[in-house]
Amino acid sequence: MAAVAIGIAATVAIAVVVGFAVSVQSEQTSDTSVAATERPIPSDVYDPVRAGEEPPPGFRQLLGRDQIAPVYNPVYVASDEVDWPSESLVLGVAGTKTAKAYPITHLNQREMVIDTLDGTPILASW
Amino acid sequence: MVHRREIDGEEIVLGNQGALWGNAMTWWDHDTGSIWSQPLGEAILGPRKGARLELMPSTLTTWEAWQAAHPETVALAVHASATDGFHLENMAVVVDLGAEAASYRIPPLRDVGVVNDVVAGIEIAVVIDPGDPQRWAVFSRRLDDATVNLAMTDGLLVDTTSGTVFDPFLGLGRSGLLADEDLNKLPAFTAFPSDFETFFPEGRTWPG
Repeated sequence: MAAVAIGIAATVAIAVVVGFAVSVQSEQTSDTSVAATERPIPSDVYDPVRAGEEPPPGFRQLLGRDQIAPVYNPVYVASDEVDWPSESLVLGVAGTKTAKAYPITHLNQREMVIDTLDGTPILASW
Repeated sequence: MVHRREIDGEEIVLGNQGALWGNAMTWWDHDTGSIWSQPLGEAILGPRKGARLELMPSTLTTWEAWQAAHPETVALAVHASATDGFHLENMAVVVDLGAEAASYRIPPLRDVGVVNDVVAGIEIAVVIDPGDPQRWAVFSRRLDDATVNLAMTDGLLVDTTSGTVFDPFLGLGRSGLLADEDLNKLPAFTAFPSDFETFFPEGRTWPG
């Protein structure tokens, strides 16, 4: 799945990923990377790995929690307000009232969007 | 892929664990710290180990094809550039219904248009939209009082028994005996075939 390639990319290009997120933030103030810092990350939450629980075979802790920052407070605009290439891939999800599109090139950087769809809490991931 | 962030009706918040398992992303939940596998949607470590999140219907397609199907769509307020490295042609549609998982390679799917199958005892159909081969969907073939068998005929998605025509991406009944019913979308996602084999070693692959 797509996350596989992202995970691999993250192991070799962490600085690139983080650096790119920063550059996107500076380019467009409405970028959701701005909002990601608004949710305080709980610092005292249990971590099974640090607590010594035996991870399943093949488990590799490479980065810290949220070092690749999820989008915690996504911001949306009407579809005619973005200039995405028509052939670029998007993850699309549709509810009874709302349809949302997440561009893959952005999910490549942020990997997770903590979101809602017609009031239902959802997680879009890549 | 898109999951419902609820356990027993309670919302949970997830973050990025920063670890790979099976070369795929893992999450952590903010209240118990449990660690989750993305492709399985299942907690693999911590207090919630064994719990699963419900996978929701979503799709991977081009921006043009998504807008055409959902003109009302909103867009995440970010830049997007041309997609590099990921093409549907290299991927498979994965249907994971818990008891059984199956994958369907995109290129042969495009050749046939629709595959009728049974996964975990559920009659399903995997459909490529003839209006735009960048659009795919997975439907349940069960309606209120009938189970349909779908075929792509002259560019239309048709139930071979009743003659009912359905929208190939949205599942809406368009014409025919069962036109007042809609096909329900089932959760599915796209993956590279090798990754499907890693996470679903017992999974079935179409074509065999």
